[in-house]
Amino acid sequence: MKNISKTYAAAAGLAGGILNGIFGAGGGSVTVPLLELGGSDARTSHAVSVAIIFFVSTVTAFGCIFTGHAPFETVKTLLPSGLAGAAAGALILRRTDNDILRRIFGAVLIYSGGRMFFG
Amino acid sequence: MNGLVAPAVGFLAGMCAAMGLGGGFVLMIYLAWTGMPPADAKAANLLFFIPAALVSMLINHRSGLTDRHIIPYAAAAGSVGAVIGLLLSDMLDAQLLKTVFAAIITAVGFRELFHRKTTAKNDPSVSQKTKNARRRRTTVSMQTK
Repeated sequence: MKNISKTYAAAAGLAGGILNGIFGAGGGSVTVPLLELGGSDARTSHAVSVAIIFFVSTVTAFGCIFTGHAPFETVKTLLPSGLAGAAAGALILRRTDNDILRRIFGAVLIYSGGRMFFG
Repeated sequence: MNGLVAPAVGFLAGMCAAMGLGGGFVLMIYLAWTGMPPADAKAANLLFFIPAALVSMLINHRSGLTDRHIIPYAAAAGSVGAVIGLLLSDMLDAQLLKTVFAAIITAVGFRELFHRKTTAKNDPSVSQKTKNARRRRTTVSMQTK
């Protein structure tokens, strides 16, 4: 795996952050391809993207709470199974082939793009 | 029925979020289906992602998948970007932005879905020097045979 420069990583993070700030989601759809373009393999790109979006989402969530949108009850209902799913997902990511992961991500992006167009 | 749907959606969304596939696309459909207003759904998606990402980060760290020397820089820039994005969201034409973004991610999606399988020949992480050295070794071994 090629080493990504700190400046390049910061630019990828900035792009993801701006999009997450605007739409409340979708930051990863930019950071993952940018990290891959920089030479990182798919699995590492996805793992690093999760870490970047974690910080970005924390900032954006504060913005939402500040503007009066805080649906904690709904999140509380979804969270127990969500955490189990997160553990399963991280364990699956560890074993997923890089090429298959890229194709799955591509399909998810096409679906999300289509939903944004026609939704 | 709803008692079963919510845990299933939570599990699937958590799994996708932890894999870096964006759990939002699962969660947003469910929240829209429950009749939650879009602004609240956006907040719920973000609040759900934070603990799910934390679990994923811990496991990814143990799996050796995190690139520790770049994460602080990318996360700091991303946090600044999020503030810029939040401020921009009130100023920009949301519909136009959504259309442009949708076009970009669809194009990237097709590129990812139909990418050429990475082999030793086209792996960008292997330098030309290494490839040449490998080729020389193969030629020499063939000649000695």
